[in-house]
Amino acid sequence: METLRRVPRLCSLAAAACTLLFLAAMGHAQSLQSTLQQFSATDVKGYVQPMGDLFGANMNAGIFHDAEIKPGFHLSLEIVGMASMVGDNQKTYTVTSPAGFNPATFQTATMFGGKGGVVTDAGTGFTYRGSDGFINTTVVPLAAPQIIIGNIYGTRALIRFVATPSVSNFPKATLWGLGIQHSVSQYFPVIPLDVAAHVFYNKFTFGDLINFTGTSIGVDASKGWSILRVHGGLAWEKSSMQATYTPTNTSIPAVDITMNGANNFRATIGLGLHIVFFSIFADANFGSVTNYSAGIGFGG
Amino acid sequence: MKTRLLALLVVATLPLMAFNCITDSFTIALNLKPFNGTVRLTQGGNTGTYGGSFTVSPDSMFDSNTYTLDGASVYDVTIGTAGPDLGQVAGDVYVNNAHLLHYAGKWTDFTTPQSLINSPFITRYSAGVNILIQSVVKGTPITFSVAGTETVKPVPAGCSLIALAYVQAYGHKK
Repeated sequence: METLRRVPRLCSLAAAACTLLFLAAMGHAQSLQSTLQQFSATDVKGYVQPMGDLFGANMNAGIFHDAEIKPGFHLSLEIVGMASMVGDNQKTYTVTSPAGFNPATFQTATMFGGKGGVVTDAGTGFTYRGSDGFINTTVVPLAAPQIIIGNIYGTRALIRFVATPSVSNFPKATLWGLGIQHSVSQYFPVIPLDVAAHVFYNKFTFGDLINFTGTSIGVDASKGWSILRVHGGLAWEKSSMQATYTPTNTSIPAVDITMNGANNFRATIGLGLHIVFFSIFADANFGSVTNYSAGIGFGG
Repeated sequence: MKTRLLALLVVATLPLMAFNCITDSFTIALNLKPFNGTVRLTQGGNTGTYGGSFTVSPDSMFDSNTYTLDGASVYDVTIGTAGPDLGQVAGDVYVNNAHLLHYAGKWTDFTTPQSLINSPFITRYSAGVNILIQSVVKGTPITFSVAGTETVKPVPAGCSLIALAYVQAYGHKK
């Protein structure tokens, strides 16, 4: 009962952390907006593709981390933090030089890179350069609260939502997700571990500038020993980032492009501790993007 | 108590993961609107010559309220023609009185704008190229002047020669 009395306060603290982290991410997005507006549709793709890869991987992380779907009604509130690791290959990309230049391509920084690359045309000495990266980090984080509620016929639902209002020049930002998980092992009582299948969809919007969507379809398995639980899973996933903006240079056409995230498959392995109405969990996710998630949960 | 400490630890750790990672003065490459100069040939002209000039200021081509310019570069100059065929054309383009390029060919060869970088109809001169780059980097006004000849007389209506200079500026947000 003592734990139950603490739940509202803990939830408030955790929600505050979520909001702070979300606002930090939005601060990045605002810098991203003014930077993106310098790019044409052709030039912008390589520059922001890593954000699509990493943020997309975050969006499909931290969902179901337990395949045991308990009988009867249960409800839990979770706060989940996700982090995708920025690899060296996501700090530079190859971009096309201006028409007629020799060499025809050159390496320059993505938004996570360092100094922009410079290409010099062998014939004329003309130069052209890429923008510098502007986010110096080894991880791209995300955090969100989510509610898991069940069950109906061995099925439970996950609802994820966090939003910030529009303030001054700061656009409204919203992240929401919806998923279901269905127990497979209920049909096969001889299986010595819990197995479930899941489908999850989530969407993030930042004003009219950026729109992320993520979908995950997978199989989860878990096994518990007392308060310890080991979980893992395999999932197919898809994420995409749509950028829509008007470049500052009015001679460049308006940009409306969609880029797919790099991750299409992930393998997950994780650990959790469940103590009555409190749980803590963490997992590592392996695919084209390496991603970690961890969180706390309250409720049963 | 342990639960509360754990929650506080999470609260303290999560936000720290994302703060202080925006680079303060990163350089943005600003693709400026091309410097555009059009020399209109006088209708009915019988001299077989034409000329004109236009002046551009690099500073006027970007949002100086938002960005501080650190430098600039030129990455192409093109020559194009518009209007009825004027036969053979030839001419020279100067930048602040320094010879930038000589062009020669059929009027129709330039209907598709020809690039200073690789066109067989254009000869470039390093003096003008260097002056152009230096002027853009310094942000000083640049005067392009054109003087040329054509072979159709009198000149019909609607003939013009278009010079475009493609410039990229580097800056950072104020």
